[in-house]
Amino acid sequence: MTAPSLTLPRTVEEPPLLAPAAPADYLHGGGVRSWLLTRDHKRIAVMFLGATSLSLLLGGILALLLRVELLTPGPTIMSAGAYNRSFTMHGIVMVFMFMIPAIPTVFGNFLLPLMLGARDVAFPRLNLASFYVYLLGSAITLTSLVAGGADMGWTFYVPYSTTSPSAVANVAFGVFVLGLSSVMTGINFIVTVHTMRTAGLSWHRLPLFVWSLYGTSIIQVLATPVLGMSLLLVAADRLFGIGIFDPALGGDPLLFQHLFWFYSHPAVYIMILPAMGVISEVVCVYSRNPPASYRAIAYSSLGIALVGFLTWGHHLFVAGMSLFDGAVFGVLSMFVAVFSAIKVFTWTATLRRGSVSFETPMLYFFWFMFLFAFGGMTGVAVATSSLDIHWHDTYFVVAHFHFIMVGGTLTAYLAALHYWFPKFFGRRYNERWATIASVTVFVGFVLTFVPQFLLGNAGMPRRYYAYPPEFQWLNVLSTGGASILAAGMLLTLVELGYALAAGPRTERNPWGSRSYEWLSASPPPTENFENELVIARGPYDYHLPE
Amino acid sequence: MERETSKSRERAWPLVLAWVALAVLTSLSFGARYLPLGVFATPVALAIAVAKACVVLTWFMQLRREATSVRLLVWVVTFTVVLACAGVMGDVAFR
Amino acid sequence: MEGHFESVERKAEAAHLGMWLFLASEVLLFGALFAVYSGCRVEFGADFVVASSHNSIAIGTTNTFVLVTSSLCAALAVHGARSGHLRRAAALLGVTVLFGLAFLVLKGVEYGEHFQSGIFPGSHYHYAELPTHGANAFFTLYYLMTALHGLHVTGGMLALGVVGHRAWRGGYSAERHLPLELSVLYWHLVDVIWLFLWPLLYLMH
Repeated sequence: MTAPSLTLPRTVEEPPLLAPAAPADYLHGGGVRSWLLTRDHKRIAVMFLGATSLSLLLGGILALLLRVELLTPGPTIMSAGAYNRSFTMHGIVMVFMFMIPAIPTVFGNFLLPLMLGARDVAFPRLNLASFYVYLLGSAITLTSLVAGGADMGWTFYVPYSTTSPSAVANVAFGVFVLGLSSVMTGINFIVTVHTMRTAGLSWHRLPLFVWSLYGTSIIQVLATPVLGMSLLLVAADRLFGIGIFDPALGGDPLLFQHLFWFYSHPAVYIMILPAMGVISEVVCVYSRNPPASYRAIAYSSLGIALVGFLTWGHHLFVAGMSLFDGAVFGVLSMFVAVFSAIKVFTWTATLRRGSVSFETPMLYFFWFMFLFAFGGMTGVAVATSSLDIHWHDTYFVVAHFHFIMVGGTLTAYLAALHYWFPKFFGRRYNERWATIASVTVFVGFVLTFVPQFLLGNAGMPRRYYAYPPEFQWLNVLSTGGASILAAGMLLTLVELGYALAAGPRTERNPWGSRSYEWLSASPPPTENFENELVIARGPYDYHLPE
Repeated sequence: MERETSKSRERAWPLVLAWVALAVLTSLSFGARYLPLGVFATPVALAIAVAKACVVLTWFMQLRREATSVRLLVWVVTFTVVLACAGVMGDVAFR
Repeated sequence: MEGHFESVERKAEAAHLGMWLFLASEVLLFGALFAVYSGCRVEFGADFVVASSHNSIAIGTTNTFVLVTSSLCAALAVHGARSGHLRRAAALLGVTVLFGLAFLVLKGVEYGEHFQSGIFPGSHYHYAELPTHGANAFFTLYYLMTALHGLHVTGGMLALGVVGHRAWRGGYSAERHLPLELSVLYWHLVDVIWLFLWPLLYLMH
């Protein structure tokens, strides 16, 4: 990306701020009806922001209930059954209703057309449909709460999920519908990247966030149907007793685990790839540097998407899988670490000789790097089958995937929320309060999950509501950390809510980014760009004047 | 409308020939069922199925007209399905 | 008509790519069942072969010819539409739908015969001649795969019926008939999937 040709897009001159002739932005005009039936990707993104935030809130409240229950070795506030139902819903809501859709549907929807210089995504009606399908899927999933909850865990393992008396079928069907929404978004994004790029925007001028969305979408389209089918089989087994996974009928329960992880391991990359895209954008902007290697980051996104499909078996090491498959999957799993490490080193090298500033999104970049590196290395450890046998189904695994999946996704999500807040709403958040909230979130997160690494290594199994008294001090620490984390999230909510209502108005490109989404007004007008954009430079050409 | 008008000059007979090829392959597959192929029976039947799928993709679905990305997609999908089947079979076979 | 696309060609390209991606996800939906089938096939080997020879090879093979021929009709319909013979295209789509119907009727006949011998999916299976777990698993998979495929046949017939009706009423032209092309692509996919189901469910020996 060294093309030094000067940029002269026709829209590059500053739109006059607050001038009477300024076109209406996308947020204004029309009533509730015009929002609910909108085909504008930006409004759909904002509606998704609301919906996924509610999911995050619900999943967070459930997490707090779980941590309160674990304060004492015996029963604290709920029964064993209620505990099972709570951790199941916590996992389901967080994975399928927040982490998988959140960054693509909110930031992907809003930014992808802007980054491509396009008016909208390729199929705007499909985009709106995917929002309502998401709502429908969430509603069906949540009916299980009314039906008394479901207690099979977010992994739906048979034969328990086919025999449990709780409302498993509601959840299975709800997640199936959520998967439909995911596939719709994936198809839309891939086609958009292929066909909606504006003049001059070659593949190697795409912002890195676009590359990561592209990789994510491929996984969504190819892997989600497999999950859908495996959940339909669970539901069919409950309704009609098809017994394909039931040992009593000659079925094989491991087949389910194969199908489930064939989706759900790549799904980890559905969650983390968009997060990596956010991080790539943030690190370049706040170090005012191009990425140390654009191609390394871009291609490793595709590499992760590919290798992500080759590793599902490492979830089955202790389930009775053959040693042969175990060895193959153990080795293949290590390759993911190679691509992830390429990214981590490239991000770090991007800081070199940059002029780094420490706004809130950049803080989240550092939190992300810590959590991702730590979670990633423990991931290599548990992919080693001999070690995994010790740690499997203990809190070590819980802490590992919370570090990498939740830590990675959540910090990137919050980084994105702050970084693009001016783009979304045309207002600035308060840097001091955002910094306090950010530090609180990080401290709370680490304090919640580091004790869980220790607990797991000491042998505390996951999904138990009671434990021997010698584990109590670590559990109390973890619950304390969770409370700090919750306080940090609450503070973020208040701080951003205040910014939304009364934050100072911002100029078009407050961070001095070179990426294309900032070439339109903030917030953008309904048609995104007043004139057609012609791209004549890369998205990270910080050596050129804006 | 270059894309559409150039197509209108096409002839129909390649489609009919493709159908003949499919019919021949189907008969071949049907006949192979009665041969003593032993362990090769299923591989042979699947190989013929792959050949038929290629005929449908090439002539009926006109894959050659599609963008490179679509052709790449067909390979990726094939790879993914084969991968899923192979992973499961590998596990069951060596358990 | 082109909406926010820069040209008609771009719109057609986007629609085609979108359709192929949808087809890809459909293949993976079946792919999950193929994976389960592979696992069970390795596990139950001989039982599967015995059970599959109980399926009517006559019906299976006839259905293969039926679907392949229906695909030819659908392809000819697209050819007709491109050269401006919309009425002919509509008639060919009608024939395609009839072939689809014939496929479903034959499938129904086969289901009926199975039900009479007590071959039901899963725990309802009580076929005295083949009491093995392997046979039970085979027929469960048979029902799952053919039922899912039958649903797709039905969906394809509906889609072809709609676009065929519209073509007959003059809703398309030689230049603009994108829904017709896309529906036919879907129909071909349904055919391709059957090309693999047929050997796996009928031809083992």
